Amino acid sequence: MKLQKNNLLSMQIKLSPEDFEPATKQEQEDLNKLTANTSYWKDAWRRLKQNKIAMISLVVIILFIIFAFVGPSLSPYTYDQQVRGDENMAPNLKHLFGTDQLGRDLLTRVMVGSRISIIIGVGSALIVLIIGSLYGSIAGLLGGVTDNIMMRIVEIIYSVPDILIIILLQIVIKEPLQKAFDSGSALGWLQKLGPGIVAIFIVYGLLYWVGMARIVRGQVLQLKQMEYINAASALGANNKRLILKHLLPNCIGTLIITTMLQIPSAIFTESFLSFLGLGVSVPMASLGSLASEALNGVQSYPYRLLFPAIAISIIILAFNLFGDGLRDALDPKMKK
Amino acid sequence: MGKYIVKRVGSALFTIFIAATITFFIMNLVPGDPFMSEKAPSAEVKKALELKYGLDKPLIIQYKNYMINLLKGDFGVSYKLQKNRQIVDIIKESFPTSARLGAFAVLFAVTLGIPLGCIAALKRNKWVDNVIRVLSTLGISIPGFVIATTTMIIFTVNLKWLPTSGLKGPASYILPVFTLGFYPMCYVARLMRSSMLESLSQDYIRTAKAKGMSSFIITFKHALRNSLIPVITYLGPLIASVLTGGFVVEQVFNIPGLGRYFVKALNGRDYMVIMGTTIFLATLIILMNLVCDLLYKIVDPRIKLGEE
Repeated sequence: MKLQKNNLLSMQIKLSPEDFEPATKQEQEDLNKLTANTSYWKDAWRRLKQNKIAMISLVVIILFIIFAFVGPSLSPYTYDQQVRGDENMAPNLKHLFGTDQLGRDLLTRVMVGSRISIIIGVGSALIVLIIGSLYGSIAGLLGGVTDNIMMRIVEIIYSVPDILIIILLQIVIKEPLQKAFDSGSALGWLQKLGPGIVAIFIVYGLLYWVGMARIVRGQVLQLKQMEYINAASALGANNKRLILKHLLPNCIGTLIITTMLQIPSAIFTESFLSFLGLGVSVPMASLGSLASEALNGVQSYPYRLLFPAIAISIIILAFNLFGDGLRDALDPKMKK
Repeated sequence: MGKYIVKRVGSALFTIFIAATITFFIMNLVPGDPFMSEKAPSAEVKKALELKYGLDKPLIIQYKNYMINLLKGDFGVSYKLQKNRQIVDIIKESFPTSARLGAFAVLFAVTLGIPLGCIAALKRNKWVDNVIRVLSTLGISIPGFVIATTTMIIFTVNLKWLPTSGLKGPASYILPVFTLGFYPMCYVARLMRSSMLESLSQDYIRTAKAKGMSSFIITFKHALRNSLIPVITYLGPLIASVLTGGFVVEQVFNIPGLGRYFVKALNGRDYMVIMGTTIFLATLIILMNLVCDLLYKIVDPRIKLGEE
């Protein structure tokens, strides 16, 4: 479109009817593209997609979840089924991963073990997320004496060597829980999980939230200086609303990253406990307890150790790498 | 500085007290008493035992007695595995082995982890860096027992290069030290890489380069020394992880250290031994953390902790 003027000095523009024609589809689309909003999530997803290692890890995690949750129902055996005459088999076509001394199919047991490990990882991470983020944001928002006392408690829990206390709690909690489960007085869905896992959840709920609480408090201390928090409280928002609607949603990146990295660390700790004989109870199997069981006959049947060991290493590695990738994608500091 | 030391020592002592208290009360949550889970003794024997160990008194008195005994260095006696043996004696006998193993593992982790991290940072995004990054990520993802058992199968069962179990001769140290030190080594390498990268991007490095300093001096005098600080803060957790990692490694390689004894006590539910060992290890870890904190403060005068 060429602008025509009456004379050089005039500001008037000669307009013709053609100038008022609606824009074509193409022009509209171009304009939309130019001014489109890239949301935080879209931006993060775009960055995550460029990170090959993270994407491969994501695929591995998804495959593993399918392996662990769908696999057992496709298998002709159950994890505690003892097939007579099939004891101590090396890996073969009937039992791809072989069998143990009781004739239980190892592939099925590894699948179920992976499922337990994933449940423990995700469940513990969620528990840590809920307790830690609420505790941290309350301490950060209220400040003053409350904050001081709350963070002192965190500091004490933080400085007591956690793994030792976990071992102790695990010994102490498991037996009464076992009794409660045997008598059937536990809640329905908890009953399904078994006392070993519930004991681990309790231990995590008691100890592991402190790291999350510290991180969230740090973020909240920064965020509460922002004007929108001021505005919200001027409009009469109470503390609960401030935390749930304003503060926590704005820490979402940190929350996701910390939760994601909590998963492999929980799986790691559980396998350590199971290996010491403190994890899930028989005949249930986690990857750590499978490896621990295999240790007795390791010289003659190394494959019994190999499969659960590989499985657990892959799970932890995939979650670690994906968590790293997620951090790079979500961390606003890395934004150019 | 003096004020800071006093404050830190005080809080460490308080933490030790808390740890001992938590341990005591957790152990007393156990249903029944220490003698019950084995074949039940007759009423008279039980009574005599209770009297001997003061178990008939209310919990709070037991707690007070236990804490006073702890202060005297008396951890009580084993009830089950080694009847009536002083727990202090058990620790004295088995801990030196674990400590020696742990010291080698820490040495291994630090002397290998720091150079690896440095090389990775200096060769950023080159193939050396990629290899080190992949290896160290693998290293922090593989649980200790997996490394312990796999290396044992490969080197002692299949290749028969190294002795299977026990600690006799230098060759028998190789695998336990490697498995114990591998995780912290990888952790140190990752830490070192990122802190070195940060140091290298600082202004004073650019200034040094602009002044025409040799890259050798820049790397070793300016960048390396500053990037060692995060590694020092990790030393405390490192020692803790080596001590608790010993539970698994000593179990797998059949090493007569405190870790193996602790696991035995766990499985045999020898509560007094569990309690005593836990308090001992917790105290050790907390004291190590204290030393690292003070070291950290000395190395980096910019840090003004606790002197607000």
